[in-house]
Amino acid sequence: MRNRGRTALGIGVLVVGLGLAAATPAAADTPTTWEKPPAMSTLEALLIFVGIPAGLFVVIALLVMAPSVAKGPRYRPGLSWWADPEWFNGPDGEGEERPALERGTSDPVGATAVSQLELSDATVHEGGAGARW
Amino acid sequence: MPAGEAFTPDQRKAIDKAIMAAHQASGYTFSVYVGPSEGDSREYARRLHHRLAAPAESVLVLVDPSSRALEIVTGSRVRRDLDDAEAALVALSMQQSFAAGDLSGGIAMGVYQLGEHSRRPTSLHTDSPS
Repeated sequence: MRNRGRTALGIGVLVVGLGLAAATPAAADTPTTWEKPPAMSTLEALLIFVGIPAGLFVVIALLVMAPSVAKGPRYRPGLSWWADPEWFNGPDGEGEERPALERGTSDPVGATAVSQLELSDATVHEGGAGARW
Repeated sequence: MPAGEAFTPDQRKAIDKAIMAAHQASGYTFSVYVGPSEGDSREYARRLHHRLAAPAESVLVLVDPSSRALEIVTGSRVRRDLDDAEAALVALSMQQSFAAGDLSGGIAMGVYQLGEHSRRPTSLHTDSPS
């Protein structure tokens, strides 16, 4: 069994070796019937073999980055907040920037005169809910 | 990061649309503030709420991305139709969106839901409309 395996291995090595020996440099030459192309200058070679791949890299990178660049910075939980405060449908119209708040100018109950007339029950004040994320 | 716009025009439009839809559904005014809150976020949200034209009939949603705080303040009149449990339910679903990084989507969805929840029940058995 062991001898047989060794023989098979020997034959395999021989076949591969012959194959490699047959592939001499001469066999890699172009056929003599082919036209001789004009010699390529270094600049031309650089342009083709470096310039085109580099250009492809740039194009692919741009394609990948374009959507996020177009969308602008995106909110990610855990990162600091960058944007200006924004108040939708605020007291001074939609989308306006928040006006400076003055501390303590507002009525703590927060009900206007009209709603105070409507609400006989003084315990019904503003409500709501809060959450953290 | 440099200061800039928090939302794209499309996102802003979606939030405005939600505010409008909520107003049409309930008749109340909805306002959304996105920015840092000074001090206690609840107190700050209430102060913003008082600044609105008709606080009793308004709902203010404060979203503070820097301290990850969300506050919903309902006016005394709104509270009759939108109780605190409903507001808490909306806050919970908004919280889910925010935690997933969808700020504008969470706001728009929350405002829609607030509008739906605060829809006034139509009274069918009264002679005169109240």
